[in-house]
Amino acid sequence: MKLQLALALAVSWLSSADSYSQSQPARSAQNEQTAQEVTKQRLLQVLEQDPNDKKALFEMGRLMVEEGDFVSAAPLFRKYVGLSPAEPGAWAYLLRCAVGQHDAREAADAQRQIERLAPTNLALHAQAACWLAGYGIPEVTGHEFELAMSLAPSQTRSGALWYSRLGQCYESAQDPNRAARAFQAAIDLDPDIETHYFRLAHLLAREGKAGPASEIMASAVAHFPRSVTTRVEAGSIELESGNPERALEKQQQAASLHPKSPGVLLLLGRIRLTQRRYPEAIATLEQAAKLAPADAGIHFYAGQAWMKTEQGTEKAIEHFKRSLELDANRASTYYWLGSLYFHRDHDYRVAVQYLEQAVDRAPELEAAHQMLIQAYKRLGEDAKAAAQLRRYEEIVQQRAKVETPE
Amino acid sequence: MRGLQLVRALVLGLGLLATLTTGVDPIQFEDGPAPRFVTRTGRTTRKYLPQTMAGGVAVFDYNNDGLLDIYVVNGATMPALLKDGAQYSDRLFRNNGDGTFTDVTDTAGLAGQGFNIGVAIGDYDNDGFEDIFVAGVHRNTLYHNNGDGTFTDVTERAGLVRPDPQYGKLWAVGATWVDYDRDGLLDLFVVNYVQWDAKTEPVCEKGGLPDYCYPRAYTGVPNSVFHNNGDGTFTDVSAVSGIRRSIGKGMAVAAADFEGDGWPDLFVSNDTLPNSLFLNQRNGTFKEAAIEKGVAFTENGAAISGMGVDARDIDNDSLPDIFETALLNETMPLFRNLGQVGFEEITFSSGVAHASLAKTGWSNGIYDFNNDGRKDLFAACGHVMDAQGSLHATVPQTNIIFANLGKEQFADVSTSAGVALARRGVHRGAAFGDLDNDGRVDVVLTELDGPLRILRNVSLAPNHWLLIRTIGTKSNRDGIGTRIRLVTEDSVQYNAVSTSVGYASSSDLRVHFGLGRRALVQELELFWPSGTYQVLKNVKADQVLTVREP
Repeated sequence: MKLQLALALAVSWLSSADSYSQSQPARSAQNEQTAQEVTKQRLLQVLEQDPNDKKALFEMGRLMVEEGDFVSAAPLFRKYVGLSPAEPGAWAYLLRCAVGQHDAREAADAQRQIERLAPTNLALHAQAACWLAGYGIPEVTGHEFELAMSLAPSQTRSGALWYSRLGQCYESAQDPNRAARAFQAAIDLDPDIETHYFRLAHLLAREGKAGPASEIMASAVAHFPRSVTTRVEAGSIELESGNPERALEKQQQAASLHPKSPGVLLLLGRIRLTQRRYPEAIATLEQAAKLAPADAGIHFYAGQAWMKTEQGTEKAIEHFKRSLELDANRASTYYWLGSLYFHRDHDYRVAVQYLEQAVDRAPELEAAHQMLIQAYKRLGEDAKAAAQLRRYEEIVQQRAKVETPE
Repeated sequence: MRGLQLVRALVLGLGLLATLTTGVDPIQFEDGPAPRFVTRTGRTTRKYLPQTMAGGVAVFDYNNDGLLDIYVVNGATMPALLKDGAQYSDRLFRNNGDGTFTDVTDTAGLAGQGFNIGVAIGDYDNDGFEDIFVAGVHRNTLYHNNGDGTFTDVTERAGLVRPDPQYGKLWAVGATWVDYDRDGLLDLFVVNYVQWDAKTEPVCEKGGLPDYCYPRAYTGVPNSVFHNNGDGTFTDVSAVSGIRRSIGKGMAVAAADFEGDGWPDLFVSNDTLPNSLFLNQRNGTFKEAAIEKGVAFTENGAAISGMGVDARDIDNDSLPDIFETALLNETMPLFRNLGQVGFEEITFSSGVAHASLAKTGWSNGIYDFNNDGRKDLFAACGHVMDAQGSLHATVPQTNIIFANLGKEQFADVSTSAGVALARRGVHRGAAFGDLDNDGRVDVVLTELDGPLRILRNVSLAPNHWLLIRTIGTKSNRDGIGTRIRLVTEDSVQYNAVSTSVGYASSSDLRVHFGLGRRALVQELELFWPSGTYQVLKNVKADQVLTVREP
């Protein structure tokens, strides 16, 4: 039971990790919700008959955690560890609940139990460290992160995935130093996976560390000399670092391996976009779109290129809409569509539809909140504008609470 | 000589062409004789962020002779932040009235200390002489104008030296004098940039060579507000006013009555963080409302590298609009004030976006350069990164001028505005004012490790103008914050009294109006900060008009 639970926890965590280069097909949220409700009803019935049914307690708690209802989940896991105190997976979920409720004391207690019961379980410690990332409990977070990192030397290649995920958590939590250490550990454990290099290099580039980012990509290119993807990513890193000329060098190297690769053309289009050579960017991205008509990213950048031109609004809208058909989850695409309808067409009704989608998908996208508030006002919907402003302020307050340790 | 004539003829030809293509009177500048001065950044192999930020300049009449003088602040050695040589001295140049200037720094006692960035001019003690606030790295200075050509450093006595309780010594880049509580005394709003310490300066590189780090490598800080107690001292009201709650990386501030309620509000441009809009709550406090009013972000969706800002009414609907500068590829945002609803960004639709994409703008101003009755836009440009490093070819930039075509449309007329506009430089500061009282607004420019420049406005259109010098009696003596409505036979215009314009710079206190072909102002209405309303009828054009608050 103990191992099964820990394994289930780990598998569910890894499967929830986003794929770096492939977008997963969107599942029907409605179907998922219905299935979840059915499961909850079943579990409630089990618990009515036997309030101490450990499996039901755990499953019910896990569902609550997935829904973000930490207040309801915490008593279930407390009961579980009361019945079975040596179960590290349950303590891990209890830690999640404590983090969700900003309960530093319970978080510290749960962390100690996980460490005592499973001192070398990388899956649990990586997961726990991930949950703690950015939640304003610095001592517990620092301890758990270091514990997870200390396990790296004893790991096999498969451990690299945990460190990659750990890096993503700390990157999201805007802790680039810890994220970089975790990504480096992933590379050290399994140097044969390209994406580990990409993640670290992108992080460094975003932090303004262009030199180290280029070095990481140079080692990736040395390790994967025939990989078009690696060279395209190397160019992309240079572009992010503000070096379009260097990006162009990498793009040309990639083109020498596979001149008709849509990825190679996409990079060239992005470079031309940065250089404000819009007609060339458009021509290149249109060519890429013909070669890979189902690539949402290419349509996204084609939209970006068209919107920079005086007469390109309609074409930009066309590409952004196509991008959304292919990837309905990208908040920035909704934002740009909203922005075009707002600023160029002054069609606030349509703009609102897209902007609502953008803020639902990415509440942290502050610019979308601003534009949505303005769109409501233009439509005379002042109550909605005020509600949206309140929603934005709540997000800001929540973030401030997280960023300010107690 | 013949070559020069040819160039002038060519420029005039381009100006004429611009007139034909844009339908507006040409705007023409030429490089005028400027005092010898170089903005020193304390250049070092190791890169320190303040070195990218120097360049504050002010035009103001320090001796009340009716002529605008020039004051420039300067850098220092790095990382010591010391003015250990004459080359780092701040300078005051007296306008001799014949196109020349005399260096009076030593007599005035204005050589300064430390690494200075910005300057704000205002008569804080209402004695009739303009005082100087200098914003700098870990050190600000308030100079009291003694009225006899000398100044006294009164920073400590004024209570302006206390470090921030949380962030310690702050790095200020600019300021504005504003009577936020309308008690007749100018208060001081100081724009603070980031937490910085030479000891912990990160090391960054570009194209394989050392270069300045991006702002995201530094932590933001709050701005400061000091209430004028009326006895030569100030009280730090940053916390109680609500200003301190907003953390930013402030670059510039514009004070204007954005809501049209008679109370001054404040817009702060932030570097890589959302802009701030502090709305005056009329009780000594401010409410941050940039998101609510639609000016926190631009159409681009991300926080831009906000630089300079000016706020004036570009469409003469009585509401001040906002013109902001930003980094290369970010455009120079133009926000049109719609009143209660908020602001509408018109950067793209106005024609400003396309031309400004290729520029990194710093100090900027909204002025009617051709006196046609419509306010134009000027931005001093130069990239941020090391001009001697890997990007030396792209760092110096030409400045940019947009002519106002009316109906919220602007045209980039830089290439037809004279060879002075074709000169590239790492420009930073720009102060606007009529140096020779000919009714045309001139521009004084600074360049990093480059000479001070005076762009003399030589626009040829036979348009009329009016310069208004306000003297407050119940209001602050400068009349800062006074809103002015001007009516001619065929137009209505709005402007307001302020000196803080653009980035780190301070401009002519006098309010300038271009009148087009109209030689008579039918009505001139002044809405003083004290609440006093004043109206003047049938005012002749082409004069510097002094208006005393009744």
